[in-house]
Amino acid sequence: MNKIWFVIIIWISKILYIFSKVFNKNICIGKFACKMQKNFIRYFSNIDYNNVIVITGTNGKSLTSTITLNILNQSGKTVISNIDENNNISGIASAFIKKCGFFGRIKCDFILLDVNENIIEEFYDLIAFKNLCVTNIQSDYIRSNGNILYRFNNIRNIIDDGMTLYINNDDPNSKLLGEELDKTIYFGVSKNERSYIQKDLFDVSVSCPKCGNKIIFNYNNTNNMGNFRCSNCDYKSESNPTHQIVRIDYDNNEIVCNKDKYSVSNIEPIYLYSYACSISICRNFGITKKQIEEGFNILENNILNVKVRDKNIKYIQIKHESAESFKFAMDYISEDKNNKVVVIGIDTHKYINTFVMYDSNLSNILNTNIEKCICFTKDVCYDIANILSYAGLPKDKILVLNTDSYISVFREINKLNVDNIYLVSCNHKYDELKRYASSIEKDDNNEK
Amino acid sequence: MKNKLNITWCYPDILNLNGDKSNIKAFEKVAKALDLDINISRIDSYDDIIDFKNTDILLFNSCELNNVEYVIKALKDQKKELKKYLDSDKILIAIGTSGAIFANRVVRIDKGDLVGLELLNMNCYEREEMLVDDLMLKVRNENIKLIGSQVQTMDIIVNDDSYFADVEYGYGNNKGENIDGARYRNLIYTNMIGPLFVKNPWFTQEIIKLAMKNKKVEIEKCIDKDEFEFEYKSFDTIKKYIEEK
Repeated sequence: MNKIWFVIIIWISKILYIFSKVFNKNICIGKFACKMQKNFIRYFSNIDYNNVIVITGTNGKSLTSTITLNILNQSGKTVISNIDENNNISGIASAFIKKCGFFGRIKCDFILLDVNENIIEEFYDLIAFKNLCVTNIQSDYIRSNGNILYRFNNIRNIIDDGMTLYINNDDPNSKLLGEELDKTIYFGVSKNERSYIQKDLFDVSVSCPKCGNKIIFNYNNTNNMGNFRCSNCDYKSESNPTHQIVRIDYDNNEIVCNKDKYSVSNIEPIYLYSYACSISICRNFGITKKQIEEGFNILENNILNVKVRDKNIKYIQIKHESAESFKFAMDYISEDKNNKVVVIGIDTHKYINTFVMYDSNLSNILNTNIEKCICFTKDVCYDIANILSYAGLPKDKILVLNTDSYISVFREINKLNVDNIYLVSCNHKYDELKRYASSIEKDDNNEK
Repeated sequence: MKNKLNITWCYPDILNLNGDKSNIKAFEKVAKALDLDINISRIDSYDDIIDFKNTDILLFNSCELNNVEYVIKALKDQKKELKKYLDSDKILIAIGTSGAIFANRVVRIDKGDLVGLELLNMNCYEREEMLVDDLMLKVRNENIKLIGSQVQTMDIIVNDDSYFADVEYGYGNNKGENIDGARYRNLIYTNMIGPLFVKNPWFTQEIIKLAMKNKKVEIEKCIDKDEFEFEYKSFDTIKKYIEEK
């Protein structure tokens, strides 16, 4: 009976999906399906668990999933992925419904899923996947339940002997998970010209997940990620991880992983661990070096451009308000040595969630040419301004607009004689910007 | 010669969740605004001994509940000196889960209970689920309002009347009591993150003035509202946001 009901739901969901496309409506068919049937995903058939790859962790899940998907597609594999959906059960259900047969039969070479750590136990109960990749486990923005121990335990509880683990050797919290199994593939990134050592009075490390003492990083590639050792016990990074990016040529966009050289489209530090992780996964499935490189090179930039009259806005998508993604955006901007205006807008949700951004190391932004930093969006604009002020940006470089309106933002931008403009915010603010740009263009055309 | 404020920043690598490391920068900023020199010492290792004599404020930021037992163990040998420090009305601030260090008992879900340092008359009970929300407080017996956030991994029951603040919005110590934190002399425990001292420089100022008063130094100067414009306006903006919820 359950199976019959499952098939009916598949049909209804597929019809709903077509309806949503035709009438341009936003319908999460996975959410609908999961509401209609408990454990809906369990009823999909013909899934080879050995070819189900789950990528979880605090930061880098989406990027790693995108890169890995590109590689698998480029190598001619058919893949079902939830890249375009959310990373909860409903998003996975949506991805399955869109690609399955009319009776819920899955037919593909791989299933590649970006899965939120908070639901990973629940998901494993439905689909006992055999490949688990953990990008890292770090302090996170609170929407995803920021407690490290909670997320660590969620993941540890599902590790079983039949799994292959792909673990970040440079992250103290997730590296401990790798010790649960013999069949762990470690990946990491060696010290390079953009690595740094934390030695300022205000720099803080993390605690050892084994003994609670301080972790010492031999070098940092990003915030609290790099080759490490505990100051007390013998816990440390593996000395010979399976896949290690050993050399990075920032000028020519090339990396060397083990002995293989790859040219890549994006070379910022935030990408390096995703490359290493994707190589680990794909090499394990026999994907060639050439295919991997082809996958790397079709990766789109995280930077989108929007034109508003004579102003070219470079929009940096930060997926959510976390210390690492905010740092990435500001580091990226700091690479541009030209005079610029930076506009920052962060959403609130059910509560103010800016506190984790005080963990962002924004020192790079001080060495670049900023005409003005405009902090907008209601409620949190002053918090953002304060974060920048605490990072050392002089107050006269900060302008605060307690508004969500791009009209007000552009009124201020137009007063400044700068055409080089960056916008740092999340996806729906980008959509709002595009709508604003369209409306301006329409008004201008009407006037003509 | 300027007066000097001595802060000991305790276990900063271990007690550093939720952006709390900026609390120490807030003390530096406010101290400077009050024309004080500031000396910041770090206690980095569990083997380090705290220099109680030359400390005016001990700062314990929020932490993972798992790390509480290591800090308790490290401080147990120094408990006598710590009690003497507190009994002379010197200041210790504990934020978020680090309050459990000073509690009577910490009841864990899947682990054995911990005995805390028993300096605050309260018990802590680990929660099944984390609770996150805004937090607005009025400090007890003071005309000081605080605004920040709360990430709650444990419920607190204060066994006597020694709570720190009244909750005007948020969860506080537990469901139903509308109180936050606990206090023993100038051992102040609060659930508020934000970071607490960044977002509430008027409170930072009061703590600093209290610390200096303990050294018989009266600080007349107050922080300039213009210099702390972002913080004051953030308070007003977020207060309005909370009221509209």
